[in-house]
Amino acid sequence: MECIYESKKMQDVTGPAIRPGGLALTERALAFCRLPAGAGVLDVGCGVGATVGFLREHRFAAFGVDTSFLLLERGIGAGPNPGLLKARAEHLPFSDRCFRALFCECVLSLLHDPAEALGEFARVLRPGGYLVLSDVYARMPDEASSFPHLPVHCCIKGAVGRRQIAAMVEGNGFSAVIWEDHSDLLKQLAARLIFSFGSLNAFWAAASCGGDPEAIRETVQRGRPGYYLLIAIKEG
Amino acid sequence: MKSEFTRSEDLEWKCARCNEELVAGPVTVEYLGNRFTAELAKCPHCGFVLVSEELALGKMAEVEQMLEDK
Repeated sequence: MECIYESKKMQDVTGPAIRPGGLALTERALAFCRLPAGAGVLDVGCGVGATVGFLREHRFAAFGVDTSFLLLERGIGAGPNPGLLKARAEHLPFSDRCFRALFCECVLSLLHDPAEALGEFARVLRPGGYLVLSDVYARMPDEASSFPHLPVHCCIKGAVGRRQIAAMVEGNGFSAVIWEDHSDLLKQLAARLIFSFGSLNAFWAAASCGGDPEAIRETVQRGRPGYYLLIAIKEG
Repeated sequence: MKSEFTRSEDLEWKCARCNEELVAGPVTVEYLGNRFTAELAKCPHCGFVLVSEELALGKMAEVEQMLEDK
């Protein structure tokens, strides 16, 4: 079954970078990291390769991995040698310490084991390398305990609180240097979804596998989802 | 211009000033400091946007409520 991220309707709303803000936070993080030209950068959960294309335009040696054949196929069809591979975040097909930066945008919350993936990110990053995370989080984490049981396949399901994210990142050998709240970008995406799907309930009906869209909307609202940008450095 | 996001009834209107048939197209909407693009029926000449009663009381009201939530 096609997941909501793979649908053309969703991409009509978000553009090729399937997440709140599109490339805005990618650009912001890149400006912060000040990577040298030609630096190796990996995008985990690259989708059709929007970030990889953007990084290559900035003359970085960028590669992307994703688990969706459908999205990778669209990206690979767009041009020669796009640098996109099929792989899981928890098992990256790269050697130790080979990247200067790793982007993981609106993906960590989708993973079955985000802590294991963070350990893998630490393995492929050089000491002093940058980890750039942007994702959905629960601004009321005590109200988000039922998120994992939601009958949907999207990032809300894995959204946790800020403290839990920071603990996972730091527990895997990173020091966080930036945490920024960008919840307005999530709200703007929700507004576009309402215009495109007709209502949030209609969106949840499309994103769920048979659940009651009104119940899903209410559960999600209680956890007050927000969006963050986190930049961390791999400890030496 | 056909669109799955814009009601076909909205595209039956003509702009009173330009006498042009409305088309579906991207419109920048701003509310409470949030700016986003939505596809609505508008005049291809002067850019005047049709906001039908159904749109105002439906999608727009839901968007306003969502943006007002802290």
